[in-house]
Amino acid sequence: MNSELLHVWSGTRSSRVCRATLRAAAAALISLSVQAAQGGPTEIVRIRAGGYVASNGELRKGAAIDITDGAISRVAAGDAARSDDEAPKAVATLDYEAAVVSPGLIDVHSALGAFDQLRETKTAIRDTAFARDAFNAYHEQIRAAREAGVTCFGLSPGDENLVGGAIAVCKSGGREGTPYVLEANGPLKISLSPRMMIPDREPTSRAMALEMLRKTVEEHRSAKSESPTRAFASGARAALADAPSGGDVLSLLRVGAPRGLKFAFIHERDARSVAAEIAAAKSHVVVGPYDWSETPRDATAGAVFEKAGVGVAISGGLPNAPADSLRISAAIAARNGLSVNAARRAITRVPAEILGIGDRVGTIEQGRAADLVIFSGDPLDLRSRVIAVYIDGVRVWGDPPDAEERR
Amino acid sequence: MHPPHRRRRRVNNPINEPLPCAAPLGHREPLIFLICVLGGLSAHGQLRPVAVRDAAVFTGNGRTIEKATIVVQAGRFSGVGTKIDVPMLALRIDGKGKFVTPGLIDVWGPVATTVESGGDPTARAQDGFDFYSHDQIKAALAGGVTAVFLSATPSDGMGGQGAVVRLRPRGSPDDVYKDGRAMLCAAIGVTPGQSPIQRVRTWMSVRKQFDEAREYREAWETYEEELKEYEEKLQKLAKGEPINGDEKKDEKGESKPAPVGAARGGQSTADTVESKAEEEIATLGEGAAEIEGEPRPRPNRRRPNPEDLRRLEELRDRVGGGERSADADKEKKAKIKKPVEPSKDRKKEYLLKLIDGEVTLRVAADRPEDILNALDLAARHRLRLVIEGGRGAHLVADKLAAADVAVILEPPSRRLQYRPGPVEFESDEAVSILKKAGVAIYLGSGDGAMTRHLALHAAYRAGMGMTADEALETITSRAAELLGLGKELGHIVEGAPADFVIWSAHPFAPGARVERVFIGGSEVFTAEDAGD
Repeated sequence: MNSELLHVWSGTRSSRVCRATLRAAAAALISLSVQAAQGGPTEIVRIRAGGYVASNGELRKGAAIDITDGAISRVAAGDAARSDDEAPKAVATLDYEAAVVSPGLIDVHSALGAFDQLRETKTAIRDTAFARDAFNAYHEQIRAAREAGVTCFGLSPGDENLVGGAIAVCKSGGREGTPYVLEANGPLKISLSPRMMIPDREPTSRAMALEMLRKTVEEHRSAKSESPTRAFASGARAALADAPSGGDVLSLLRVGAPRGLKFAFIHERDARSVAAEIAAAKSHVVVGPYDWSETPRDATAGAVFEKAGVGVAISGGLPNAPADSLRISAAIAARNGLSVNAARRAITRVPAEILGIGDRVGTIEQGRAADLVIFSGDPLDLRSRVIAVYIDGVRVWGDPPDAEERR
Repeated sequence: MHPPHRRRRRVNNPINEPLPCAAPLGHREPLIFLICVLGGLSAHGQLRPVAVRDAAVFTGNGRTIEKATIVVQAGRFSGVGTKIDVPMLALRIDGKGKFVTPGLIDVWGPVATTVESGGDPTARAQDGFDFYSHDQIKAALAGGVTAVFLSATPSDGMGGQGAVVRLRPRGSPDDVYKDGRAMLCAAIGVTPGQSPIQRVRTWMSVRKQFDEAREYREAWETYEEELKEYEEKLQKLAKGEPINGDEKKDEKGESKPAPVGAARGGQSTADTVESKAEEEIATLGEGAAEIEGEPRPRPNRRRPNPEDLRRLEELRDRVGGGERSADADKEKKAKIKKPVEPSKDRKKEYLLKLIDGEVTLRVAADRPEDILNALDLAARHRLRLVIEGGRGAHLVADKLAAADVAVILEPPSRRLQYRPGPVEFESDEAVSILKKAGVAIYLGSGDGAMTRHLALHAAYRAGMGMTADEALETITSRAAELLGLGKELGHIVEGAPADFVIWSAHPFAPGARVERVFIGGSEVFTAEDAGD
């Protein structure tokens, strides 16, 4: 790795620097150097591998993924992936051989780098708050998550607020080398959790909570200024609603139906009884995170919702969980009845859709950001390890394969 | 009980008429034969022979036989291989595309059990196990686990005896393996939020218990020696012979350390000769009563022999004013002291089994420092040791390897959010470092609720420096060997009890499901009832 970097470095800069200093500098500037290795804005870098996770969650054999200017410009699968005959000329081909390319993993509901900074216990309605204000791009946790394959996450207000404000959609790395906020005005966070009912303030009952929610929505529907709540109230953006029981889900759907509001539901502990209603409302559900001691009942939730036709995402619960919690949770859900394709979608595509960025990340398709994780095998197989992580086409973690320079 | 064939016929033909097809007697014979065979087999808990055909079979020895057939009869594997004849009446299961493994064994899986031994080594985990805890047993079976080691790991310090249990719903006493296979469980520093001084105290108490067990043995050895001498002297006295070596004996008696468990308020020196003799009469009399069918709860009492009884009579004669001069006897007896019997201690006796290498000690330890302490204890008393939990074991891998001590790793639990405590010692490198150093690694759950994900845990570890076969062996054949049950569990070989699992795919493959589970040849779990 070092020699490649040295080569790149000395190729781009002609200054003569002491070798030892050079090594240190090269290690520190890994992402920049790699970007340099991958050519300019319009040049193509090709990643080749034994297989990839298709947008329906299926594991397909053979993959050649072209990256241009940080985005996926072409995807070839199967036999077509093996030859360059019909492919545009690439400046470099990175051949990961038998490995599997997955879309970057996405934790839809996390507090990475802002643990305990996202819950407000004095006011229940925080209709104009932005979680991005709590974002700390330099937190160690984000690096650890990135190395486990998490490229994107929703920095989400806690469950202590009826209306918690806008979820910030963040990337765990990028071309500049540091994590950044991709979308500050993400979905609104709503909570009907018992943790939201705090004795010293309103609301202290579900009835009051819904009355306050209706009022807030009505206020913002007619408001002139743009705010997280207005986007939700006007039906432009969904809310991620913490709804632990079936009753909570039905209440929110009743509030939402006449107003054209959109929801995804999280912390659905007892909401499986209304899986059919959630499916009818075309809402998504977030289950998990799961750990090794998960009860059979909770771990089968994903399967129950899938059967009812509900799109299922799995939350990783970061940072209050192991770094590879997303994969462990997905593997446990798959053990407990969720189909393998749905389990792969649940940590990539569905969370992207819930966060409102399904057209930008979450699948390996032309036009999506090149957020890719190279696994030694199926990402759902717990034997697989992370080999490399790319965000916006830049390798932010892991060793390159023996890169074949084709200049 | 009715003969089985009579019951069968009634079921088949409730109105008690001759079977329509049974006109010629010759046709009936195979049927009767069949019924007899089935009836005979049911005594073993398995009604019909079972045959799984065309499956990939992991036998437990790191070997996978493709397109193999396994046949189970009378609760045991009767054939395993590619060219096996299937018995005519067998329940045939199509194993095409399926994967068969021995029933998984969780070497640290306190399923359906509640044990808090309170530091008593005689507490037994199996007493806290509930065969009727249906949900928990079913959950474990749904994960392909057919046997667990019920640990009696306490929250701190010395715990109780573990046991191995086969998870047959409603079970039978045969499904509990104990005795030599049991292990004594202890724990050091695994309770969250403990202060370091508590760990020091715990260690002191564990060490002390072993030291005391040794002293206890010495006390008994001393006592038995002294008792023998004492009896010899009494015998001589009875025969009227001079007591040789009186002085020597006294010296010896004084030079010996007082038996540890034997301090009984200084009565030994103050006792008069008469009371001594009377006491012995009482003791011997007790023994006599025992012979007559009144066992007394005095552990480790020697059974009285005819010799004792004879002497008893002699002594009675004498104390009651026999033929000889009482004064002369008194003088002689004054020099004879009966040694005091140390009190029995079953806890210490159990600990001696560990010192003798009959029982293995398991220590739950989650810090390299505590692991070193455990190694130290094991070396001091030559204990067979296994480390449970073993966070940080990779940091002392060489020492573990040198002492030939195995480690049972539990599922990792380190979170991104920093928490103080032993999870700091968790490392993704642990498996590869331990393996490289030559330490035997086993995988356990440490929590009954995790047992159902044992296969996933093994898959996860396999990604960290074990091959898939190694990881699978770790939770089947090697697990059985660790528990001293290598012949009974963990293998699919001819003659072994038929505990096995039929998976939809390799157990480590994503989405692989447990489809059917057999224990002793009987189906104990089927996937159809796996849901809620």
